[in-house]
Amino acid sequence: MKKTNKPVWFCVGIITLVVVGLVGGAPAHAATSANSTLSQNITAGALSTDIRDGSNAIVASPTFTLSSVTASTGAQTSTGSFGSSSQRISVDNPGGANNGWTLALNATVPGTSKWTSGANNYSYNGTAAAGQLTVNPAAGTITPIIGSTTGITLGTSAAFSASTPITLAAAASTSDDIWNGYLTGIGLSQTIPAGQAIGTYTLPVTQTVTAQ
Amino acid sequence: MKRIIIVAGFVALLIVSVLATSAFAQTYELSQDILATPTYLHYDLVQSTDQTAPPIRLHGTYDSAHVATNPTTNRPKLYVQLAGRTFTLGANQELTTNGDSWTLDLSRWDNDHPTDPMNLVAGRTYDGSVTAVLISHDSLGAPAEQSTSANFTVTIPMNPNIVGNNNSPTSGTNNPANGNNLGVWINNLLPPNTGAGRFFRSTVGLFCLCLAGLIIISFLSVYLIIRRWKRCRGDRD
Repeated sequence: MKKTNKPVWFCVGIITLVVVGLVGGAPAHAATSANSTLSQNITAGALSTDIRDGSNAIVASPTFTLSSVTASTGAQTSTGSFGSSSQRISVDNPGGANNGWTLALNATVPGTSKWTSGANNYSYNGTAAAGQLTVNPAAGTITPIIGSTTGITLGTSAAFSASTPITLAAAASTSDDIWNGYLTGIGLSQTIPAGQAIGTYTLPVTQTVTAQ
Repeated sequence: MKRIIIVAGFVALLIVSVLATSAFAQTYELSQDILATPTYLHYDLVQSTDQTAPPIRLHGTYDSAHVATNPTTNRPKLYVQLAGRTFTLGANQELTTNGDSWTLDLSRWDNDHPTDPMNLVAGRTYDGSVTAVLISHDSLGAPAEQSTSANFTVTIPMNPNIVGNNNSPTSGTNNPANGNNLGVWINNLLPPNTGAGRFFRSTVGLFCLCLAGLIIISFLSVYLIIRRWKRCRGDRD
């Protein structure tokens, strides 16, 4: 029976490793390439609308003013423009409404809101003699930033009546699923009752974009 | 681990789906300014011992709700012009306001400005205007100044001593029953006794003197001619 000398061989091995480590030894051999996969998930964003300036920044307190008129004993009409280069009516659809969308304008309290200045007021949705606001989207312009104007149309001129909103623009299902752009130059025309008292009148309005 | 990923995915899809189909709205205000142009309403006359200047006060209205502030006077930008002279609220004490009303009081003008008379002549009509600078808003809601004005005419009454209130500048003129006398009446027909008015008065006076002299000389000449003619006829007889 041959007797093995394990402690001796163990020490020799250790010494060899130390020597190789000190001298530097031969470089270890490793794989020269490796394959991996990066993953990126793009999900649909939310459909939204707001008022943005020329730098595409949101305007904190947008105001649209109709032309001033002089108090009169006769009925008169004031005109204005809704949407300008510095107050764009912006719509952003980052894939949130693939079947299209509708942008509409209405009084904040539909049917009830009034042009108000202190204790004085007049209607936005009455007869021409009592005060009526007409919106003419057809006079406006659609400017796309992302996507095209295909499938996107401006609404037709309409006067407010009762609590019905007025459609400013609509995007059909054929429009780009990812779209960003804005409207400018929508016509506004308000009849002012005869003998209306002087003042600065305001009417709270709300624009709403709804997915189809 | 797979179950957790699947559940998280469903939750994410649900959130995106809800956001994508809901309406998004923004609220703001439309604005409309209804302004009032200034007006001239009427004049009235106050009691005055000054016979050379009509003690007149003009009255009118302006839009005090929208009027701009004059940074120099810190008062509303309101101006009344009469007979080529402009009165500025805050700079000329004759022009005052009360609420939506303005008053231009010229009854003490000649007392307060003895070296700068108004030279308003009774019976004559003068052009005037009232101007108010108002603040309206442009299409973007930014405040902008807008000048509004109204023109008017005032006929200075023949009897400035009448105390009254008149909507019609041409009525309520000279009336002897009100204690007016011929001297005052004539005085009011003439220009004020200052400057060019004084020259006019002097010229008229000199003309009247010359005319009287000519008439007297004419009478004397006629008298002398007749007398000589009679004497000649007496000598012949």
